[in-house]
Amino acid sequence: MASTKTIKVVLLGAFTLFLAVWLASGTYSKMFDTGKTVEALSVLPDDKDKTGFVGSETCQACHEDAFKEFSGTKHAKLSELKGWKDKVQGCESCHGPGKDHVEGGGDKTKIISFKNKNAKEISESCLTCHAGKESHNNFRRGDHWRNNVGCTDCHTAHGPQLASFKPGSIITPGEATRENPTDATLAMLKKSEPQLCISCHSETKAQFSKPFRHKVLEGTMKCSDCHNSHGGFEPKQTKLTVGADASCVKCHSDKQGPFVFEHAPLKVEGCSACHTPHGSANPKMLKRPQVRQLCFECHSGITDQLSDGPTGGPHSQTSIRSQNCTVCHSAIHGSNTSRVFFR
Amino acid sequence: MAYKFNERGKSPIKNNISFLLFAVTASLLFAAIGLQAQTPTPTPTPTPEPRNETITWFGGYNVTSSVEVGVRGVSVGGNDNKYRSDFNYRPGVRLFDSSFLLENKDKKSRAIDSLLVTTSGWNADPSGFTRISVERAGFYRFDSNVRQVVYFNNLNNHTRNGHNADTRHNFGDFDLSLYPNNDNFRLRFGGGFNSTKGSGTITTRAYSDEYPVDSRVNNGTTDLRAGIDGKLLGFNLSLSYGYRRFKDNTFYSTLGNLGYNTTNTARIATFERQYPIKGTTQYGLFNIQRTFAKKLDFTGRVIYSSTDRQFEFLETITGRDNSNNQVDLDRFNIRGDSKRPQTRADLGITYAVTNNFRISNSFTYDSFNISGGNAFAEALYTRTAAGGSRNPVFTNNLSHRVTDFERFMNTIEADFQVKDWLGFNIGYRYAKRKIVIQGFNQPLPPATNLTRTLIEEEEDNQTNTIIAGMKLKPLKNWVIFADVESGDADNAFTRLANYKFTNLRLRSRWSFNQFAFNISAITKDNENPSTSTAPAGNYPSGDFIANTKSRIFSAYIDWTPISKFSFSGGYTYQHLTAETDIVINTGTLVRGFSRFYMRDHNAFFNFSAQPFKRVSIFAGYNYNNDRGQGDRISPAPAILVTSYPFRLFTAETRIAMKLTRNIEWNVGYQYIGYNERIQPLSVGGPQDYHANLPYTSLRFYFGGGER
Repeated sequence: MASTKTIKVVLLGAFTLFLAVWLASGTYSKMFDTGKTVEALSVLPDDKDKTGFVGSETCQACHEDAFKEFSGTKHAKLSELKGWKDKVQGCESCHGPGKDHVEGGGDKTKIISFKNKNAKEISESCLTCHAGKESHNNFRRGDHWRNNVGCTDCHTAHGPQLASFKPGSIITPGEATRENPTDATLAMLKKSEPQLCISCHSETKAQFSKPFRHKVLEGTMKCSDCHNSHGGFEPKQTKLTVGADASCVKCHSDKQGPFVFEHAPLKVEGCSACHTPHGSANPKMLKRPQVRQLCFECHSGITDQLSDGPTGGPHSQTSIRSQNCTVCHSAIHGSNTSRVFFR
Repeated sequence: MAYKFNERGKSPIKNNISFLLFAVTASLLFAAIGLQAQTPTPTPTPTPEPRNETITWFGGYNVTSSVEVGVRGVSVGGNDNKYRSDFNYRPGVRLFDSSFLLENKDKKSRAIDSLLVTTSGWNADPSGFTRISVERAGFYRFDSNVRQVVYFNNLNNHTRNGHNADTRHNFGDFDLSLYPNNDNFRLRFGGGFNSTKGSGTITTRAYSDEYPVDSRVNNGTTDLRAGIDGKLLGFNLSLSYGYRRFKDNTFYSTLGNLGYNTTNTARIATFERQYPIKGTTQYGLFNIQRTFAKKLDFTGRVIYSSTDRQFEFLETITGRDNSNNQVDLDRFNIRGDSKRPQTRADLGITYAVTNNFRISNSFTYDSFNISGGNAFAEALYTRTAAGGSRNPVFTNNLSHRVTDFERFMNTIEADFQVKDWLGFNIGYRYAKRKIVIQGFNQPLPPATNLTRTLIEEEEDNQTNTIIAGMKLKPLKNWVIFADVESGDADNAFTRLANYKFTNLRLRSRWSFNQFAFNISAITKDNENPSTSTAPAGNYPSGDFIANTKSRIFSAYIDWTPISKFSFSGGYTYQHLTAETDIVINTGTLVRGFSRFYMRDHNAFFNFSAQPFKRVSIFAGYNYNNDRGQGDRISPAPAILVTSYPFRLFTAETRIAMKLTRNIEWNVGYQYIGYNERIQPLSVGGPQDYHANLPYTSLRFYFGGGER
């Protein structure tokens, strides 16, 4: 087994090597620097040179509202960046060159419009630029993609059209508004989390309203703290943390182990084997109100577990003592000192 | 009404002060309103909206901000511990949902192009957060997220009220990204912290009895991470390194504890446990991605992490054992360590056969090895009940465990967009998993039998799952999603066979102008056949199964016909039945069942309106009713029927009045009511409560931007 020191050396070595290779390879070379432009242009039907571009100011003449919304977004800011000077910017980076559209008197067939495109086509257009970021790499294999939920179902490329602030519940932060911007404003989301997610996953609203819950409606947590809406290799698009650990241990660090005596589900099945992470009426957000029921569902077939003799024993369910399993097995997440999780 | 604020030692005077503060603030605000109303106004008051003026600071920054600060009163009738375990809203000053956005509207980039601070909940709330995002386009982006959760748990129906907590969890994350918009080169640096402190109780077992002992919780982590992203030979690459240090210095103690069984002789006079744990995690993560000719998308990821922890356990007990011997000292000294290296590799490929037909494959390899051991030493010094001497007993042994886990999983799927209004997908997942547990228990002198007991267990399994789904768009504004997943779950451990499961989801979203209507149905059927064990002695034979059936139906509407009126409401029903075979001792060992029922109805609505220019109102209601097992009762001693019937409802109303163009006064009231049926394993009566939470606040607006 590699020692910690070796691991450090290998990781730092790989990091340095990567940096050196990157510097030596001249990734600022024209070939790859212009790659973005070529890819962006590739969404166009035919014309792949830049001669057909007219600039966003031309679009403004007819699409004043859209231009105004767009000009306040991060997308519009790209035109100020040195690395984007030679690339297609503004409206035409997504809608393609507008010359024919303008000369055709606003002919809708001569411009790329997303109104009648399906979610995957729209997403492919966005991924032209947004693929390659670690968090977006699996979008094409994610649950949202699979179910035809595309980028513009949650984001708005022209910038969010926010309503005016209205009073809401005291305990749940409201949606982003003109007067009360939130993270959603910067992320160009149509709504704030969790309202955006709940608008489809409506059953989670009930789960987060249970007596014991993660504070998602209260705003302390966000859906994206645990889930990656852009896809991932994990089931339910959950995130990993601290390397390859489940996202739960990012905050619940005392449960991360490793323990000398592991309770198998902790690492293999994950916390959701026993807990309902969105919310529950049961203490500790357990799946069942009585701990014994939860334990039975795995430990049902073990003949020496529930009773150790015809006259009864420590696990006889006729005794209240043994009905609360974790009173004795209190270190149920794993123990360093007791193989039956007593301490 | 009996006002009951806090039964954990806070002075009632302090609570009265909070209420007094609330009353004074409310009075002052009413007075302010009254004075404002009485002030002669020579000219009509300007319409307070829309607020779209621009505040310019430092030449070129727009500021958009609203900050709400107020005070809340709380009165709780009934079980305050249950109220605090569920909600824990406290009286006092509170920072409401507030934000501050500063944006550079100049074309020229500045040191700060945007700064967003959002915050909510601090002080009188059980949870609060402050998030800060600062960015200079193209140069850097900094995000921080600092949060606090005050966790309280004191419940009759869990572990005989033995696992309680009153802790404060502070945690935060800080991430700095340099050149965030540069595809060729980006740098990332980050850090984080977790700290949990407070008091609690935990149970421990000694001399055939169990005891709740107090704990002084103190654990936490420190995280550091760094990464570099770039583009090389057309590949998007990302390399990250992270380090976590964690520690747990929780201390446990109790005095004069009779244990749960107060009739036996076992008792603890003194108990102290010091159990310091520390450790580190280091990990490296490498990502690679490229899309070839807009046809082939390729993503790879490799993660290697290694966690190690060291611990020392020192416990001393005095008292009496269950044979009425006096325990002068029972000392445990246990040391050891454990480590867990883990390797994970993932590969995802998508090939676009045509613009409407794609085939994807995701492959995952996961492997970890948990190894740990301890050296156990117990020294037990006892005397007889009458004080006569007894020989001390020394127990020493070594234990070691190794868990090897290895899993391959591959999912292949195809998605086909037949028409713009119809798409479907189908897939197949195969997984192969192997788990090997090895170890030994080795008695050490003074034991006479030093035979080492070896432990070896191995489990292999293979699972197959079918995935299918479709999206149908019958009308322009109506979308139906459906998907199904059926097969064997790869998530059951060694002692059980695989879950056979079928999950079905159906969703419909319909929106027309400002009206949206969603319905969804989710069904989950899990069948766990369990491995049968050979009957021994009088034990019943045969397989022991565990089945779970869950049905969730949800409907949701959102209606905003005009900007001054909005309504949303929903209903969710969850129907869950779990049944498992068990062995029950009714004099003889018989085969029995344990059944659990949930029949949970949840309904809510939120309504807001602006009937007058200066006045807005909000009303919300949430109702939760789990009918549990209903009329079902156990027909025989060998059949256990359990559920948790309860009702929880919250009602809330709020009125906001604009005092000036930039100041708004809010007054509101929240009610929480809770009723439950006594639980079979509860040690007390029903934990019913009701709470009244009036509040008042001021919201200050700055700017409004040009959006």
